[in-house]
Amino acid sequence: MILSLFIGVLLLLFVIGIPAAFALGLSALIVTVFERGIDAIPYTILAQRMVYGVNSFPLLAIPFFILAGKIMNTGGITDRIFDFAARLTGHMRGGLGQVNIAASIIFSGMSGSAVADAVGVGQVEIRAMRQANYPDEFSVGVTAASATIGPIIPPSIPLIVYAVVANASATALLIAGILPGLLMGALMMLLVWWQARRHNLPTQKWQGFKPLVSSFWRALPPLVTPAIIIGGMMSGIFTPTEAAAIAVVYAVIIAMFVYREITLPQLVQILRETMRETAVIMIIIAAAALYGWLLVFTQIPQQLVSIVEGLNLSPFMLLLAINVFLLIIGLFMETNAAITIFTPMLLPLAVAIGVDPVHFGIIMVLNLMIGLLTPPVGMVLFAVAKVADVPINRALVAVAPFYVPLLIALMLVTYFPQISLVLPDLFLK
Amino acid sequence: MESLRGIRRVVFFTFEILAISAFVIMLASSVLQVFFRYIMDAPLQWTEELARLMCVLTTYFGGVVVLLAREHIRVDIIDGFVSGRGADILALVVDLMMAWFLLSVGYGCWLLMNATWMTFTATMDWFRMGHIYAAVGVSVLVMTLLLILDMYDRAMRMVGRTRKTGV
Repeated sequence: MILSLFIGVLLLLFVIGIPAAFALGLSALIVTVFERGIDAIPYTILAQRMVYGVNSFPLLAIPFFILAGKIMNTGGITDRIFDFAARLTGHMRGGLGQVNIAASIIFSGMSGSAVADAVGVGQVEIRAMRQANYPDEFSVGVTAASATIGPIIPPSIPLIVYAVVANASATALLIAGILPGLLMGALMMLLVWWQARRHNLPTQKWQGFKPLVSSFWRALPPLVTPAIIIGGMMSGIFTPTEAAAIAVVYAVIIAMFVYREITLPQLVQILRETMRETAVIMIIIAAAALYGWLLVFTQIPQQLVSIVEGLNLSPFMLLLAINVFLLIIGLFMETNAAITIFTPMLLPLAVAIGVDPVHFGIIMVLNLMIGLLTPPVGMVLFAVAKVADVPINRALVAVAPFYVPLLIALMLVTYFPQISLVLPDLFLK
Repeated sequence: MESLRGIRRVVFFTFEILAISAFVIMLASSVLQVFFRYIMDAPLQWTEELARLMCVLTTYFGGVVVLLAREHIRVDIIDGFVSGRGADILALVVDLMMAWFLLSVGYGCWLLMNATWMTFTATMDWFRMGHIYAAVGVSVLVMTLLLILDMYDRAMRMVGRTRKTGV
């Protein structure tokens, strides 16, 4: 009864258009009123959960990674990264398609948001591909799909959110994302290679090592950012939050003093945008803390585990069912909201069949990244369609072939936990 | 109506400045933490707690700004199915429910503020938890007032339209 009330009320509130944060808080409030009566609302717990939900040091990595990503997303820096990627991979079959993916992988090491990647480096990628007469269908598809690598390779905002909700190691999760992210990139490059052969897409001429080395030097300062973040965490020097804060300082130094790409008023504008994005995500997390507390208090996860155990599903089938469920959720819900709501319900199921919480985090985020490419809430799809100025239906057709490598990557990551766990095991144990 | 718009503008800029200030302190505190630990070899005790508490303030001060800009993430399936008067009534219901939740949180903050007004935080003997609950309480109260203003605005528009069309 209480389980259906929990899910039913939340769904109803979502459907009538209540913002995610308020829908979460309200469903906790309504369930409490149903269960204990209007006189027994625990106001102090309500306020305490809403405050303590965001009173967490690992969570601070989110605003810092958003800020660092936004600073790195300024025109000159993305141009330099793209230029380096072009000289590195432009001669491969698929030319600028391969460059697009390579640039997204490099940019993934600086920004933890797929939408930021799609809008920032995506703009440069689409402009270059249009100039080189690539068909829009191809440019939009590869730009949108490669942007989803962003939150898998560290830094990653959804992985930090998951780490906090699941009470898992943020460092382990971020490091666990490296190989799955590279796998996604490699599979996409394979598809681009095949598409290029089929449609006879143009390829750039190999320009030799000298231009490659000079473009590398030009792009070196931003290229150091992933080394600071990943190296700092792997070596145990920084926590993810400290690494994010240092990344911000480093980004400000190179954007304002080395490249002189942004001015103080522009930095203030970036701060304003970051503050608003932070508030949007954090209020959802605060409300999810309240919702999650009530879930645990009313023993919903245990009820779910016993229901699923009664179904006698094999671990293979259960993981498949969770993947299908998350893919459907990804169609309708924003990533961070989905993580905060469904982690407390799904993680106990996964742990019950022996899935490592770190591995499950990667599976969950990868599923939700695919959702970013599908309407009605396909944020990356919308962002790239807007950047390229093409209708959504055309963008959707363009992205469709890229579901194949993404789904293959999802299956490999799901059923071969070593892909996610080998690096954390190697560096953190 | 012009005065209501003025109130919203003042609230927006006040809370935007407060939220950005909290954000900058949060960032500075985290950077100081690393600087003092590795460069000065003298770790500071209070930086982590200050950064966490500033994150709370950034969230709720920023929440007011985000509410004013109506930037909260929502599922918008319903928008395709209702329009006109139906959409107005639904928006009123949504705002009313949000206001109920915010008032409940605000009342909880009031109770906790009273309970912790004399309680210092773990590492800062000049900062009390009551200050945090007070700030969060004020923010959710302002959010509630903004929702009430929006509901009033919408109700007046609905009445005006009814008078005009007679429907």
